[in-house]
Amino acid sequence: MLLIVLKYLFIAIGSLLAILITCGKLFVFKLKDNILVSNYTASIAGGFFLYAISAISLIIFAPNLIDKMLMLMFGLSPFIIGNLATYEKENVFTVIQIITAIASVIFVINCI
Amino acid sequence: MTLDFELINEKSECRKAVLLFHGLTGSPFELKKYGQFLYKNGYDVYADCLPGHGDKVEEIYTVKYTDWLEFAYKRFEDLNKKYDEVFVSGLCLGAVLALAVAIKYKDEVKGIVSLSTTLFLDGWRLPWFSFLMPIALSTMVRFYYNYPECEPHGIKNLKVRNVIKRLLQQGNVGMNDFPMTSIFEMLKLSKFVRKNIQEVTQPILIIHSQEDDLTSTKSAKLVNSKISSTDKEMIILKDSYHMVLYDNEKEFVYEKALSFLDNHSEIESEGEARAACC
Repeated sequence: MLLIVLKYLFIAIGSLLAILITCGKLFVFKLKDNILVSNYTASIAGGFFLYAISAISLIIFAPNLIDKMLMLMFGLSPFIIGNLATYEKENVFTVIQIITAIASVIFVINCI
Repeated sequence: MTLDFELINEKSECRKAVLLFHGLTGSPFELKKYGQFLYKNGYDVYADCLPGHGDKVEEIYTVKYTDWLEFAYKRFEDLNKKYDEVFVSGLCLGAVLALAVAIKYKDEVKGIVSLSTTLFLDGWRLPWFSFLMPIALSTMVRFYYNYPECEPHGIKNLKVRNVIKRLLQQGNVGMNDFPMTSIFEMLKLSKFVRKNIQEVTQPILIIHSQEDDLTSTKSAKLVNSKISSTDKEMIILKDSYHMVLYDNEKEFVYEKALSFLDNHSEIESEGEARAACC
């Protein structure tokens, strides 16, 4: 039961993150409405937190050591990517972040 | 257009100077009245735009805290060669830089005046989601958002606040928002200073506002408690916000800073002569 809850929670959060970041880059961050952009950005930050927590929680249910390591990597990925990213290559790292979120969702669907 | 200023006594050789550092996304403009006051009372004063804050505003997104440190160190070294006594002072990020210079140049910095020291961003003005800041700053989110300059602009006095708002809109005195990348760098600088704060041994005056909207008195209290200086004074203002150099108690701040500098300088001031020619 817990596995099902965590799994679907992670899938929902991972998918939502990918969508939020994509829409943000394409539309929202270009808006002049500071309050909307503030709240939207805060949602992404909150999403990253929940994503990390749920990914790390799923480590328990990963079938083998490699899968556990992969889940750990996915959980830490927002912070790894964030620390590696630079302003000049922001778009590249944004794409990497989106791909990582989608890849983690696919991984959890198939392997956990 | 450069906002740097140097107030140098051309008529006689002044042997003491004050190096000023401005705040994050600010400019030497916010130090001008303070600098002029110190200059009129016998000090040569220097204030420069920090890296990322000059004409090329886009550099704020790529500047690193080490750039600020290197700049501050170099500036101090240049002045230390020319003057017998060099004091350092700063506001906000500038105060943290002043402490960093004091940490590195233990025997050479004559004294520190630290105003609205920003070691933490925990003021009452910060938005509801500021608890997410550690996550935002360490992920891609820091590239997506600029925290806008907003009410009360660090100033309690309404009249002054309206003037500053107008100047900000004209783009002459500072930026209209705080890129999160620069906040990230400022907090890294803060971490560096906090780690080494016990190395500060010079006389220090710490001034902070009880109602500071950007950073609470926690920053000032931490500096006061952790430094190794035996000669230290902390003043908590009751009627100002973050920009203490322009707010309701600015004259008090100027006088206190001057008194501190005079008490720790072994060189007599030429204050009366400068007041006459200014």
